[in-house]
Amino acid sequence: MAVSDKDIIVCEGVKKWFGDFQALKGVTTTVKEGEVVVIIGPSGSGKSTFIRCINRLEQHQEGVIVVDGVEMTNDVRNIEKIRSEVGMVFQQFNLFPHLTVLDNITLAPLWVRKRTKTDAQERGMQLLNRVGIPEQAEKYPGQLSGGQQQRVAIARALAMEPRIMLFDEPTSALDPEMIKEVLDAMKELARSGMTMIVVTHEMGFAREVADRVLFFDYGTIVEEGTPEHFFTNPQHDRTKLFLSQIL
Amino acid sequence: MSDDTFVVHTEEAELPPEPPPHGPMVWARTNLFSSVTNTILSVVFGGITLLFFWNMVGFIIGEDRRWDAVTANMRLLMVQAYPQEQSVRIWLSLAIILVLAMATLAVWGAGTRLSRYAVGTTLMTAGAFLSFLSLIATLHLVLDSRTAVWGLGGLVVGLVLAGVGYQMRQGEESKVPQIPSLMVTAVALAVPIAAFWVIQVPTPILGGGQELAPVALSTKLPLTILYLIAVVSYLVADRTIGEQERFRGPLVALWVLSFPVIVMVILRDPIIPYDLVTSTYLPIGAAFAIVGAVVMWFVADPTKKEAGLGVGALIFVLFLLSWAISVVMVVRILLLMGALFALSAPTFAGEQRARLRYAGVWFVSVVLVTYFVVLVVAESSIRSESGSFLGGLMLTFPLAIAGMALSFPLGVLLALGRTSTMPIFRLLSTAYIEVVRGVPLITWLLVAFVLLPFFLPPGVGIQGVVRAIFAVAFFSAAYLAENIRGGLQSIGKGQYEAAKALGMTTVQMTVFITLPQALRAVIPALVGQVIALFKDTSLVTIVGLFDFLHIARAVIPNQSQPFNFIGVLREPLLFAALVYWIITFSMSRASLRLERKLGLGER
Ligand SMILES: Nc1ncnc2c1ncn2[C@@H]1O[C@H](COP(=O)(O)OP(=O)(O)OP(=O)(O)O)[C@@H](O)[C@H]1O
Ligand SMILES: [Mg+2]
Repeated sequence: MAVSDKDIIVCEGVKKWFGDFQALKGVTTTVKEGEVVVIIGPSGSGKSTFIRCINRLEQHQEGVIVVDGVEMTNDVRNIEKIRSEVGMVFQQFNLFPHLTVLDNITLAPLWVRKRTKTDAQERGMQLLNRVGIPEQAEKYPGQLSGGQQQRVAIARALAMEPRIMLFDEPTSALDPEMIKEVLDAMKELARSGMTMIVVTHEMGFAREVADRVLFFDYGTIVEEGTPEHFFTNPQHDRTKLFLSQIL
Repeated sequence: MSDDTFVVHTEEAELPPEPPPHGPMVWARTNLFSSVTNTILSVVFGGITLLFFWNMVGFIIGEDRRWDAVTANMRLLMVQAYPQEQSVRIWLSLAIILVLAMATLAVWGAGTRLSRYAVGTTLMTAGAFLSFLSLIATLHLVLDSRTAVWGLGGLVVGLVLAGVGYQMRQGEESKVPQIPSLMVTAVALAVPIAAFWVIQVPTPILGGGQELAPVALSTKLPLTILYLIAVVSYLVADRTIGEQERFRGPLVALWVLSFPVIVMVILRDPIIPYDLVTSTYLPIGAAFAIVGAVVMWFVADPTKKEAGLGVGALIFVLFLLSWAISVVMVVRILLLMGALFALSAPTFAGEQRARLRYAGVWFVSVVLVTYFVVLVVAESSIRSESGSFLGGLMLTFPLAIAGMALSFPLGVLLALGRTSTMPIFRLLSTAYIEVVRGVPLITWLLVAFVLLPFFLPPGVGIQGVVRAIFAVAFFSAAYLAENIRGGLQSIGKGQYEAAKALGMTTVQMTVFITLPQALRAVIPALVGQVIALFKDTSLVTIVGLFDFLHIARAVIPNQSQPFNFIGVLREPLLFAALVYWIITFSMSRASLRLERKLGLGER
């Protein structure tokens, strides 16, 4: 878990409205290369909205977001280029149901990264090995269990060789017995030095691999610190209340 | 629980399991006569059905039926006035299509395996139905005191079929799928082919009256040869290239090429104007091919995204300007193509190999398009009274296929436009769809023939068939667009987000993720559209084209030479209905198969 001093994501006063409703009320934080940041907070606090602003699936209206040296604005020329450096794993997996597992993984490397077919397939098989399901390569997503699908989704994001990985509640849609296999894949990834931002309710995961925990409520970061600080000595009343409910 | 109950219980458990009650009586009791209402309904509808078949068979075998009007005009119905001595061109075209179709079946591994039981059931049903119809026919014939040989023959054949089917259903292993379905199809098709050599058909006699005569050799021999070609080419394809994915791309390309080659070269037999080619088309085509290839190679560089867009826009402006001056049509077509190629260059950009391939695709496309334009410009050596070399079923099919092939991309574009986030595209697509759908096809056909000449730039003349194709295609595209839009809207937001998060551009997302899923979701609707379009082609009769239905409806009943068929309308119409039904029914069956096959990939 080598965290460098290089800032890879810088957010300053990020604000976001849906119509009249303000989902983000000024979020300021910095993520360093190789850092693993876990975001926790009650439902509707703006966790998803925040990480979706980082790869511009949502557009913030005020404040500054700089990803890997490029500021996210309306006229980002190569939004695709930045997105291909930022992998994302969704709560609902969002695999492409009409493509086999291997095709799901190789599609973007082939057409966005312009890899050759053999190259992309070789690398896709390596990734499937890494997440533990090489035997599923020729199946369709609909034929896999939820845990397997989510691991394919992780492999698919990794196939682009991103510098940052975003996870939005990757285990919330899974049955309890499948959560572990996905968390294991994520832990392995964290240990390999990937920069990760993870929205999750899995406190064990946060305690084990997070370098830093952010607590979100009502569209702002209420409290942030190391996992020890967080779970042994939380400062804010709202943090205490939330942790007492969830632990 | 006492001891004896326990003993009795054990004995019962040792009895072998009884089969559930079954058989025709049980079936009839549960399905037809389960209640008083049900019984009354069964009797009433049974009676109506019986009456219908009684009258229908009576009509078909009636003594004064003029089926000779159909058999004598079979050529006309199929290919209209295509010169008889050139028939080999038609047979050659059919052979090409069959070989391609068989190769396609083999490469896609289309066949499944059927159980003896399933085949036996079909045989039994078919045999029973044939016996039923033959029985009615025999009764009719006996009542009219005519010879009942054919009716009795049918009865015997039907009973034999049903018996064979019954036998096939016996035995434990009869439910194991083991018979290749394509073999069943082949055997089923062999029946009508063989029948052509056996049966006798009503044939008119010069000077009045009709007689039963064998089918003409010029019909049954080529048909038999085609059948054998189909069987052999399937077997060969299955052994050599069967189920290899690398042959799929080339096969699709061959299909796309086969249509213009068959219609424009084989059937139309163009007289190429060589002086015009060397003076105009060759230099223009070569210039576009070579200069364009360099340009395409240049813009297919991933680091020059703006270059492709800029060059594309520039070529498009040139295309628009070209309408202001007088140039040959081919220049405008190639300019438009160049604009599209340059605009889509960023999507296909890549390493040196990808760039060279892109330039190569451009080069080949220019050559093909130029060649095609030459073919269109050339006169045809085939002369026929109606002025067109296409007619009958040989007009209906090309109309439907070309109409569909053109309306498909247009419909996709319209659907994408209508769901686009850009208001201008949305507005234009919606306007097009609503205007086109709001007016009947007949009106558009008339517009294409009566009004279009006024709107076209001077010097652009379009042949009748081509006009009809465009009218049908533009009309059908509006409906297609609405179907595809339904499919696009059924795709979840998550799919778009996943594609974007991987860094795909809008074009890539559409081509690889959303469009394939949308099309899959609407296959049943698309097939319905194809069938509707196929039948709607019969409307071209309004603008003077001699399609299949027009010949059956208007040409045959007005014939007085060499045979007198004046006023014979019912027989050709019934025959036309049967042909339309067989074709559309096969299409809907094939699409069911396709759906089931593609269903594998669904969630
Ligand atoms: N597209 C949208 N339109 C309108 N409101 C939205 C939209 N997306 C999110 N919101 C609102 O913004 C707020 C923050 O949503 P967000 O999804 O970021 O919450 P969250 O912290 O991820 O919650 P959860 O734990 O339930 O996923 C919520 O009140 C939500 O209703
Ligand atoms: Mg959320």
